[in-house]
Amino acid sequence: MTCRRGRRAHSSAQAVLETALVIPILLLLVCNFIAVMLQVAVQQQMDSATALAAESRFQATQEAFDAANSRCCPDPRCCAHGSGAALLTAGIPTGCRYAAESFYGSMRGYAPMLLWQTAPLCLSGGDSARGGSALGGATPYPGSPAQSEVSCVVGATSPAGIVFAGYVDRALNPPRGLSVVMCQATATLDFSKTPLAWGVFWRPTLSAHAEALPPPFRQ
Amino acid sequence: MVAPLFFVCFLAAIDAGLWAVENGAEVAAVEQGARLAAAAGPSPLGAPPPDSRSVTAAVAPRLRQALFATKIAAWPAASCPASPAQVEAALGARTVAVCVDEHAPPPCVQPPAALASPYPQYCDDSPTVSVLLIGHVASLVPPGFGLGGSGGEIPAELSVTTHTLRFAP
Repeated sequence: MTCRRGRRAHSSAQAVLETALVIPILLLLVCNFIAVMLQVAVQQQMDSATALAAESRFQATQEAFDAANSRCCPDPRCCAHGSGAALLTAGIPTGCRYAAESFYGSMRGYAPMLLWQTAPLCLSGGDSARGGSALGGATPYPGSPAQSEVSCVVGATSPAGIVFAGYVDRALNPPRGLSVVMCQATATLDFSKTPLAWGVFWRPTLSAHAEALPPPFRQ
Repeated sequence: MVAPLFFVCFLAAIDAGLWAVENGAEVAAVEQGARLAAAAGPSPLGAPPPDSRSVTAAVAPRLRQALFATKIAAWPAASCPASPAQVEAALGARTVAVCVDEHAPPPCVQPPAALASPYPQYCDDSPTVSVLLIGHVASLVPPGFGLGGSGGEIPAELSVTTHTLRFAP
């Protein structure tokens, strides 16, 4: 009798111990699985926003530059969830502002989880042959906002007739390359502000890169 | 104790996978819709502006492949819905609505003395167009899970905004 009771108690203790071991492992697995799904979703949205930003540059004329006191997002939908409305764009190509407005208007929904690596908004003169340097060694336009979540290398012609080169991608039409619009954004996905922080201990850095070829009538 | 917990975790993992597939299709569809709407902007020749119906018809086949047991509809009203709950109230459960909203800049007028044209500021900007996909998608979430929808669905809200295509030299 004593022996049977002891065996039952031993078996219950073993079940409790197994449960205590299995529960955290299961939850840890599920948390990390959801985190990977979330990472994929954010990457897709960043790719989409960056591609639309690069294409938006061509909705402004080659010679259009923003007037004094211009800033991003006169249409408040563009920057409703970001810091884009703080970007002053006076003196830079209007196409850069369009790119930023498209990016900020499309990159919604995950704002609290993203730590952006900010950089100048509008640059010129990058070259894919200089792969070691950021944005192919492109230099910011004078007056370009320095703290933007998206950076675009665009070519333009100023009202004074100064020609600014676009980004030369040598993979297209080698070896001379083609001048394209290139936009790039980088952010770190921070799970510490979500319930997943319990079991997710990594912070992936996501990067999106998009290039847009000028429409045929501009080539 | 372990068996039910295992099934809950198993369902959660399946649901997260399904959500990732659905979300991927939604992002692609909204991006495609934005390109279509941006390319179909009002023209000097009087072509009609983008509307929710035509954009929905174009993106629905792609969405249907991924959104299982979810209805896809064009938002019938002029202004876009503010929340997934509004879509559920108007179109029913497990329905996503596609809505297109265009915002034109103010018309240019003769500037007052000492002010440069174009006036007012931004009047010569190209219009912006937003494509919104909003509603609830079918899911394995049990009732009362706290994600905003009723049982068997989770809210979805995706939006992109871009400038409309203009043949700028």
